[in-house]
This record gives sequence, C-alpha cells and structure tokens, in this order.
Amino acid sequence: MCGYTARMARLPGPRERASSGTRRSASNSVDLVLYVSASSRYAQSAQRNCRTLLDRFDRRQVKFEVCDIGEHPERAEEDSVCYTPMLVKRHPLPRTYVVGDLSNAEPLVDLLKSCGVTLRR
Amino acid sequence: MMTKVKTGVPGFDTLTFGGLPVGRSTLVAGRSGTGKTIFGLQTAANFARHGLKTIIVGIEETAEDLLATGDALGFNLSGLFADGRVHVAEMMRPLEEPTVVSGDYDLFGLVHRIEHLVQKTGARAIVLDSATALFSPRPPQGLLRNHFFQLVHCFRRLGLTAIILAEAPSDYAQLTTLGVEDYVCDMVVVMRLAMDGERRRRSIEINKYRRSPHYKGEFPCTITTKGLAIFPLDAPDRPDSEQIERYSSGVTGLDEMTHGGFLRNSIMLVRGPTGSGKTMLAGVFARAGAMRGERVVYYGFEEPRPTLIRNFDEVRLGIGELVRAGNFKLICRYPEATSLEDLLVDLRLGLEEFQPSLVVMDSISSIEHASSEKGFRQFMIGVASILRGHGRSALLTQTVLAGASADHTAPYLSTIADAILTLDYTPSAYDMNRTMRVIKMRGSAHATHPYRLQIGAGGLHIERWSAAAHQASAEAEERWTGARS
Repeated sequence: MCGYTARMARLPGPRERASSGTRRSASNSVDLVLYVSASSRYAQSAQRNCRTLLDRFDRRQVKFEVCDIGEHPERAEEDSVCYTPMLVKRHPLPRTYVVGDLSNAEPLVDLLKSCGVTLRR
Repeated sequence: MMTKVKTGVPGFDTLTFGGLPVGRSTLVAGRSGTGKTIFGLQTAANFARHGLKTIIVGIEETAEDLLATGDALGFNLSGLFADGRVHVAEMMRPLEEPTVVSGDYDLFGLVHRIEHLVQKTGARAIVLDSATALFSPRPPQGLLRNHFFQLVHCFRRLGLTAIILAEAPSDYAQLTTLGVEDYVCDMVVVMRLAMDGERRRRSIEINKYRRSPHYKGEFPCTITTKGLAIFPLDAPDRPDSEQIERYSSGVTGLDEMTHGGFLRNSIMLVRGPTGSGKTMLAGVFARAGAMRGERVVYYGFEEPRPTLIRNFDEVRLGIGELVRAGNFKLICRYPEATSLEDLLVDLRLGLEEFQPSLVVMDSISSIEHASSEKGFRQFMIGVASILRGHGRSALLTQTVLAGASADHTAPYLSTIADAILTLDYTPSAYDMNRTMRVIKMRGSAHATHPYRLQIGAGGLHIERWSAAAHQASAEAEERWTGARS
C-alpha cells in the first residue's frame, strides 16, 4: 500500500491534470492510469504485469501512473471505477478500460498498438 | 436481540414484525416492473425523514431519474437530497464502456468509493439499485459470488442497513438472475407481478428473515400515486372493548331478530338471491346510520349512482338528501374497470379520508365475478383488514342462488363475517314469500326462526313469521292452486 504513496504524492491535482491532458492531446502520447486497491490481492500482480508489458514499448510515448483507490477514492469517482485492478486509457479519447490483473497481456498490447505506440528498439 | 428499523412502507413492517434488520443486508428480488426501485426509494425517503441518512446507489438510472421517480410518488426525494439527508451516487454501468477483461479482478473500487461516501456523508443506510446491473456483464459464477460477498461484507463492516435490489428472471422459478445474492443476505424479499386469469396481481413475499419471525407466503400489494402499499391481510388486534355497544339496523323487526340490533365494530354479511331485498336492506341500514348523524360510506358495485338513488327514492328513503347533507357518501363503481389492488387502495384511502363509522358494500359478488378465486379471497381478507383496522361496522351483501343462502362455499367469508344474515324467497304461483334468517351472530343471541320481509314505502318491513301466518300463507297458496285446477 505504502508502495504507491510516494508515487501518488507526485500526482498533479485535477486542474493540473486537465490542462496537461489538453497539452498532450496534440502529441501522440498515451495516458494510462492503473487503479488498484491495497486491499486487493491482485494489486501487486497487476502493477508487475503492467510494468513488464510497458517495458516492451517506447516509454517516452506513454504516461503511466498507479492510483490506489483506497487512498484516493475521489479519483475512482472521476473514471467511475468499480472494479480493481482497472487500467484506464484517459488519452487519447475515447476512454478505454481494461479490467483485471493483466495476466493476459493481449488487451493492453493491442490497446497500445492501436494508439500507435511503438515497440522498444 | 436483533434491532430493526421501520421502512414506513404501509404493511411491510407488519409482515416483518418491525422492518429491516439494522446493519444487515436485505435482498429485494423481482422481475422488472415489480416495484423494487419504488420499494428502495420509498424506504430511503422514510429512513431519511427519520434521521437515518441514506445513500442511494444508482447503477441502472441516473441520479436525476431516481429523484424524479421518487418525487412523482410524493417521497420528496429531491428535497431530502437538497437537505443532505439522502445522497444519490451514480455509478452508471461500471463495465459498459469499451471494456476488455485481462485477468482476475475484484470489487474494491466500489468498496472504497462506498467507504468514502459513508465517511463523507455519515450515512447509515444504503440502497443499491441494482446488483444485477452492477454485475453486468456478468463475471463467471465463482467470481460473481466472491464479488457479491465482498460487497455485502463491506456494507456490514460499515454498519450499513442495506437494501440490495436484484432482477429475477421469472416470478416463480429462480429467485434472482445472478443466483448468488440470497445466501449472504439476512432477509430476502420477493416481489411479483404475476398473471392471474386476465389480470395482473402484485404481491410481495418475505422469503427469508434470519433470526426473526415473519409472515409467510404472498401478500397482495399495489403501487399507488403515494408509492407501494402492502396488505398484510390480518389487521392488528384492536383492544377489546369492554362494553358491547349495539345500534339499530334500521329495521325494527331485524333489531328484534338480533335481540337488540347489530354490534359495533363487526362485519355483517347479507346473503341472498337476486330480488331478495339485499340492496334495499343495505340502503335502509345506511340511511338509519346517516339519520343518527353517523358518517356512512355506501359502495354500490352493481348499478350507476343515479339509478341507485332513484331506486331508493322509489321507496322514499331520501338518500339523495342525505348525500347532500354531507355525512352520507355514495360511491358507485364497476369492479371490472379496475384492478382489485387498486380498488383496495381506493377503499383504504377513501376510508382514511372520510372516516366513516358505517360502511356498506353492495355487492361483493360483483367483485367476485370480476376476479379469480384467489384474487377475490385476497381482496376480501384485505377489506376485512381495512375495516377491522379502523374499528368500523360494515354491511356487505353477497348474491347467491335461491335456496343456497346457507351453504355457499367460501369458508373464509364466514370467518370474516361476524354476523351472517340470509335472505331468500319462495316463489309460488300465488305470491312471493321473502324470508330472512340470522345464521350466526358473534357475541349475541339471535332468533333462529325465519322472519318475513316486505318491501314497500319507507323501505323494509320485517316481522316474525308466526306459525299461524305461515299456515295462512300455505292455505292461501293451496286455495290459489286449487282454484286454478
């Protein structure tokens, strides 16, 4: 649980996020949020799976953050997240959801490819 | 000892001996259209009004729609929402967007959001509308059971009195579409809207109530402009009045037959074939009450109002004047035109509003003919419940075949009625002898031989049919038939 706290502390506020979203919308970068709960047994595996997967791609094209809903329930509200783990692609629109611990890599790989994220050389 | 909290839904707290289990989850299952959401909103509003802050979690509908539904039924949900006594959380379609499944998952997102809401609002009750929509698309059965358990456990941990609504695939087969909810809930309520003959019949059943007694079986209910109302079919016992109070039936001879008139707070059933004088007796009875200054309601189910008034005027009962005076209410309706549940609600609301001490229904047979056997039985038990609940005296008429007054088969009617009077006639070539008997009269002695009844100016005339008069009548008959042959 504490593992995410340091990361969360660096998260921009909602206003900031909105503006940064607008800025990035011009670029090709993909904005991903992985919602987890420290109470959930899938929290660790989801993060691990996600990171391993993202490492196959060019990370400069992906903005990735982890959000612990237990700490920040109001953020789950924004993306109407009920299930955990839930990966939300916030940008580019439309918002897309991948539910589960990503033990099946395909959905996320397809998602990144469809957004034009290139594999690491 | 388990604590309960009243829902305020009319009748429900009687069925459950006090309402919902505090801090526990109650499952309300039913097909779409059975009134689950109304039950949830009505209870939420009542909770909120009594200081129990309630969260309504809408999965299927927007907050706006839920508030509008509640407002339309007079729950004033918008007002309670504005006051912060009700909180509506929209959690629309959690898996509806383009969602892909990539492995195992659980429900902690929702759990944390509910925890957050409870902390923020101080809510102590929650209505989830509905579990079915929350788990849609539906995860594999094992996972589903797990998720639902997490949810109920979360409510329990937060000390929430929860109402969880769930869709049922049919009225009588499987309890819920998901098939996992009832195991972990302390109470299970089933709402139905089943076909019964040509009509739909609403009912509610307490299927299970852990650690508490409850009424068993289906009870009729209805949805009115004021929300859901249930008829527990037997009214709470009224305190026994120490003194037996009698009042006049309106006919001297009938008072004599009953050894001093009818008893207060009792239901009289008058049985007889067509033309035996039931409506006339009902009219005379109602008129006498109104003349004494009592408030009287007369429900005519057989003829339109002008016809009824005219017929009464024929024998100079002057019902029209009494109606104008204000303490006599004459309501004519055709039972075919409405559902029995709605009729029952009309009766209840009408009685509550007008507060009559005498009620007449002429005749219950027209209701019987417009419904199924089961529907009629429920209706009559409901009527008895409404009447007794208010300590009213009532006269109900019932049409039976000539000569069959005494042995009509509907045992529950005999149980409902405190007194049964039968009217009959023996058509003969010469004359028509109308007779009347008291079959039973709880709490009173009564005459056992027949009386003779005549209809004329002023209504009815009832006199003891003496052996001599009987003899004279038989002789006249004989003379008449003898003269013709």
